[in-house]
Amino acid sequence: MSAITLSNVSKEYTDGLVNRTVIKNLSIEVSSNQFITIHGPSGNGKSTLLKMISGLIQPTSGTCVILGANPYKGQKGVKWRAKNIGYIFQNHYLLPELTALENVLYMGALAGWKKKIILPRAKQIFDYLSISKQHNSLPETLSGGERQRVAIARAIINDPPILLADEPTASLDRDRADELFDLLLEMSKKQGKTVVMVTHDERYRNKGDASYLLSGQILEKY
Amino acid sequence: MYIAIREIKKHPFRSFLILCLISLIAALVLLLSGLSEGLSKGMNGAIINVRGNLIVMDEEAEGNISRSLLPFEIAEGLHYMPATDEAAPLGHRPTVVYTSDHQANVALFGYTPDTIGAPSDLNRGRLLKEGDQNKAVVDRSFLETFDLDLGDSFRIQEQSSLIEIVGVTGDNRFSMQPTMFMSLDEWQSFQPDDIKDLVTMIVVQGPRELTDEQAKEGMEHILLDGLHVDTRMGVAMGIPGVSEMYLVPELLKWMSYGVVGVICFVFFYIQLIHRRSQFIVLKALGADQYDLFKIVLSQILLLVLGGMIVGFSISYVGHLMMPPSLSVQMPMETVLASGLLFVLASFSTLPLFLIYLKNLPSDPDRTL
Ligand SMILES: Nc1ncnc2c1ncn2[C@@H]1O[C@H](COP(=O)(O)OP(=O)(O)OP(=O)(O)O)[C@@H](O)[C@H]1O
Ligand SMILES: [Mg+2]
Repeated sequence: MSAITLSNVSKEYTDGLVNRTVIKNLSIEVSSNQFITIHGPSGNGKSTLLKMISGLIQPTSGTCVILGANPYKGQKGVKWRAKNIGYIFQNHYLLPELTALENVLYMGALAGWKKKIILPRAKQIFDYLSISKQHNSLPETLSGGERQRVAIARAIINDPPILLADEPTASLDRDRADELFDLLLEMSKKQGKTVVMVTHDERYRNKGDASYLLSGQILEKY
Repeated sequence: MYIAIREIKKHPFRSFLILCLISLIAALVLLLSGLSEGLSKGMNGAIINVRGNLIVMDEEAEGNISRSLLPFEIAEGLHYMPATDEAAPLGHRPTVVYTSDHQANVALFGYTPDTIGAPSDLNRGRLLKEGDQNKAVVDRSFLETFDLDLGDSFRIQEQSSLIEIVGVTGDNRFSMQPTMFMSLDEWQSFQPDDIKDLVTMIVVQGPRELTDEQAKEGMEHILLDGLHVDTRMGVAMGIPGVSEMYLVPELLKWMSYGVVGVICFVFFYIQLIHRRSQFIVLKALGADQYDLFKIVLSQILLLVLGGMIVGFSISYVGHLMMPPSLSVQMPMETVLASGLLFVLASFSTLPLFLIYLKNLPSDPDRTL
């Protein structure tokens, strides 16, 4: 079954008076359990693509069907995104006034989970990501890699079927980056998640189920 | 809720300032409410606390109680009319009360025992009985003014014998003067000879199934020429000076509600703009406008309720220490009503925030 289906999706941004097409007639299908990587030069719309998949922004034309629904419409009222999409942002975007653990718990609360239920799960995830010692720290006191892990914990706390990771390894050294890549891959393979990972790192090309190059408004399979 | 608490902790100075501001306005609001309450009671408590719902006066007096004079028998006539349940005469005259240490002007009312002319808010002792001589029921402010208590005695300018206090009512001041009640017979004996058979007004209880206004209309049709009927409230507000004294604090009070509404709006709007990027991130994560609103709301709730409790406590404790002459009164109903209005006023602009939150974009890379 296909988890993500984009058909003829285009995205134009309006920069002042100029309209700029970032993505043109892009179509892609990702079935559940698949792990794909998206590569491409900076500024070619990789983040834009992930935002359209998650419904943060609306395509100018074309349709996105995510888990059988229109994600953009889903943002109104229903907590569609909180339940279905785990998004690891390019800048982690942790809430500065909450501790690492609270950041993760709040995400659980957004999806409607009671703290009683979500707390043991959060602790388990912190263990799994080896950041249990940091759970009471504020984001500003964490290292880049730790922050990235907290962001991952937050993305997976609600056990969403889809994980979107926007350059999650960018701020990590080589070994840490590989560890993180393996972790995401494992989540796809063991927990059956659909993972779309955007990366600059050519080492990860074709390490998952498929890899694509987004360049000059066009998406091609390697 | 914990985001709100964190936010308050993170900006302690800012939160402290807004808390102070809200406390001050809350204190002001309660003080003004207490003042208008106290002033209105001080001006016309004696009228508001009569037992009937209507008052008949001499039309030529134009609502001025001290100028009204009516034949005593009219009360009897009204009493047997089908449009009334009961009617009783009431006399008023100014007098001067003397004790060994004090002397002051007092409003002296005369009523027939066991009729609806009797005051309705007796707190201690008893009301007057048929045949009582040199006995008086006085109001609370009377005791405070003359430093007397139940069972004590005093003199009035009209007679030399001592008068004993047999009952005490709540605050029943009339035109800011303490009030005493004696039997109508005694009251009449103080009046000049040429007007001995006249009383000041007639207290009427209209049919109990009607509202005061309906009862008033019903009576207007059957009343003799030269007589004027009004509701108890209407007469009370018509006492010269009442509306003026009452309106100023009342006006200031409503303005303070407006001020607190505006202040809350401005403060929380600035706060919201400040946290715009945080809210956009939350939206990106899957929070809808109601989740965000909850964060704003719990913060407002904490600060407004906190400020209100502090402010109200200050005002309440302050009013307990004020002399009764300042006319500030805070019965529980006034405190609760002011609290409710205060919260409503502070929250009145919140729906606007909901619109703002709803229209917030959800792309966290575009927060500026
Ligand atoms: N809301 C927006 N309004 C106008 N232009 C935008 C907007 N969002 C993105 N862009 C532009 O669209 C282009 C693609 O941006 P995007 O963030 O998708 O690139 P990217 O491939 O993720 O780049 P990077 O690898 O640097 O993260 C960029 O030129 C960016 O300036
Ligand atoms: Mg990007």
